[in-house]
Amino acid sequence: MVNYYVRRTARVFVTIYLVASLTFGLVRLLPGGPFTLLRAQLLRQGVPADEVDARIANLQNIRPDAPLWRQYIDYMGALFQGNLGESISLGEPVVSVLASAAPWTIFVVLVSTILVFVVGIFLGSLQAYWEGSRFDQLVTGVSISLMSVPFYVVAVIALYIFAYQFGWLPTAGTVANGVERELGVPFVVSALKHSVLPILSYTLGAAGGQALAMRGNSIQVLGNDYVQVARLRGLSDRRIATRYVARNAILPMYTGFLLLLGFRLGGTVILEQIFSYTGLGYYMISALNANDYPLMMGTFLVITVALVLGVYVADLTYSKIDPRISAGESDEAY
Amino acid sequence: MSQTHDTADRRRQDEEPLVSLEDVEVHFEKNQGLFDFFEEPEVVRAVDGISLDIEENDVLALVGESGCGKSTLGKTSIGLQRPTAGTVRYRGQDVWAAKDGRGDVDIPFDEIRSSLQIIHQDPGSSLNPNQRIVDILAQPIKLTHPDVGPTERRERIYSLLERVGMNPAADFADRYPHQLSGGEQQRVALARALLMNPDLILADEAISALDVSLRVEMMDLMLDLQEDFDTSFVFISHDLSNARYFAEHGNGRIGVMYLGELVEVGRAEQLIEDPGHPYTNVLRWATPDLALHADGASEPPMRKIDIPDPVDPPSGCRFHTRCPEAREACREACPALEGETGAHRTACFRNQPDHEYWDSAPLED
Repeated sequence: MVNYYVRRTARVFVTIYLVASLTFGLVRLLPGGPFTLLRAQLLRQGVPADEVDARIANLQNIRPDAPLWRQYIDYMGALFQGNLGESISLGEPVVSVLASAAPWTIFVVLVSTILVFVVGIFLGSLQAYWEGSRFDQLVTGVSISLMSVPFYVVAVIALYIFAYQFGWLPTAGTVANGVERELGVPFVVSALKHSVLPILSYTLGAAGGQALAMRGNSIQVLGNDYVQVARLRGLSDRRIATRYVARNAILPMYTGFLLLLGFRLGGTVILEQIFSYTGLGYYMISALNANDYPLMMGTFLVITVALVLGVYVADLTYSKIDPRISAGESDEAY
Repeated sequence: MSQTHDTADRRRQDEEPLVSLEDVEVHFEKNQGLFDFFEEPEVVRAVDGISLDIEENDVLALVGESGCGKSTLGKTSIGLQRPTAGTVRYRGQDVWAAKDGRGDVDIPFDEIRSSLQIIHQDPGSSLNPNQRIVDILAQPIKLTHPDVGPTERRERIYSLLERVGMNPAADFADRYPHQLSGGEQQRVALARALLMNPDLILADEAISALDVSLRVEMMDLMLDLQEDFDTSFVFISHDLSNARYFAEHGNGRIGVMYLGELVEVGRAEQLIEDPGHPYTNVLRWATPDLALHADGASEPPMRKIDIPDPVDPPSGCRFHTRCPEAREACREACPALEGETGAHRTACFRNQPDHEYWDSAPLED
């Protein structure tokens, strides 16, 4: 039997390869073709046809007149070398646009997803311990209400109240204009200030959902006989709460955490638009509006790869965390 | 002065039964629906007025239909369930008074708590899935013998695992619960309970989830270890033949429960051979290897199969709605559990030759 980890790792590369091929294919299938518009524009501006072809080839690493299989090989070859072509609207290599945008998105998504789980687990376990109490009912009600409000509505309301009405927080951007883009106190403070509202609106509703999940898990674990036996043995409540209840209740949520991390990267498209937060999602929308196909493909590829990696890490580490799941060795007889 | 007081206490504790239940009642309020705000909450009488003594090295097997309250009675006797009325004493100390710190507490609640242990029905849910067997078993030793070093602890665990038939112990010790079979998990649960050095273990349907072929083995193991560890057992089963096997081999008693009441209790052989209560007879009929007349097995020795609602139990003797021997008197008066403590006791008018029962008319439906 080939080692599970080797097989699982191979699958990641296959998936990424398929995603890249799909992006190539989708862009070819788009009505009008990706570069028809650009070519028409350039030709109308009086640029010689040869030069137009050269510029387009440069943009996407393809020769428009080459057969499709040739274009495909060129595209994949460039991709393999980390070359995603050049952004049409920004006139910069796509890789450098993504490199400057990705940290912001990752920062917002990572912090808000961790907050979602910390808040959710904390509230959910308290709810389970006080099942049926006023607190439980209140948190359940608030969680369900927040879950049913989409995050972009929360974002717009938060932006209106805290940024426009009270003026406590900035309305747009990642850092204030005058601040030097280098690691220092003013930069960090400004960056944090700008990220408060995006993180807050991206956390609230999702945290409610996780609280409800944690509540259900904990109540189920609390009903298990081993918790009762642990109490009979006179173990301290704190030890039971952490080693017995919390651990077994959090485990099933771990995979969800990594998956959610990947999915929420995609969700930033709308979030960053609302806050004019120049992350991956922001550039994806502007690329779409500007018919900037190389940039679109680049952001799409990065977001998908992030999701694939999230699932990959979840799969690999879950067996380390939960002994009941033995990675791919389930056929080993005991 | 305090010396004599102490010895007097000691003596009193020695004379007291290990666990003693007195007029214990456990009533549950049924959860109310959204629209019954103005109605009286329904009360389920899970256990109703039971008195029972459990001695050192005693074996008591409780049998009865599902829902008759045998589990609740078992949990009450090990202090897991607070009775709504009556008292539970451990060596003379009121368990719930000790818990609440009421009155003079001779035996602290923590000590009572660790002396009364349980083995559950579902072995899969009674072991923490995230701990290795060796860690599961190490905890009770850490609690009862804090000064024992890790090496000796491991040795003790290995020898106990071997004792419960899990060889090679070193191999089993490093596994997680899900890597064991149900029977092996139940042995670990038994070993864990025994490591607390308990005086009483409640085996709550502990063998019901096991393969039929493993049940006798498990019961033998429990009885074997009873001698080594000096414990008593309350063994709950819905199967009279298992209860009989356990009580006979453990030289103990069988208690028969019906709708929250103890209707008959006595030594195993006596109770099976000569049941004093018509309900015990029904249970015997329902157990194929105990039915005395194979040909008579077609007709149940009762008038109705339906179990009455425990929220509103029948008046008088609770079994009168189904009892083949019931007469008018049974509808009005409730027979008490007659007889000396420790002897064969039955709650049925038929054991009182001069009761008015004999003069009243038989019930017909």
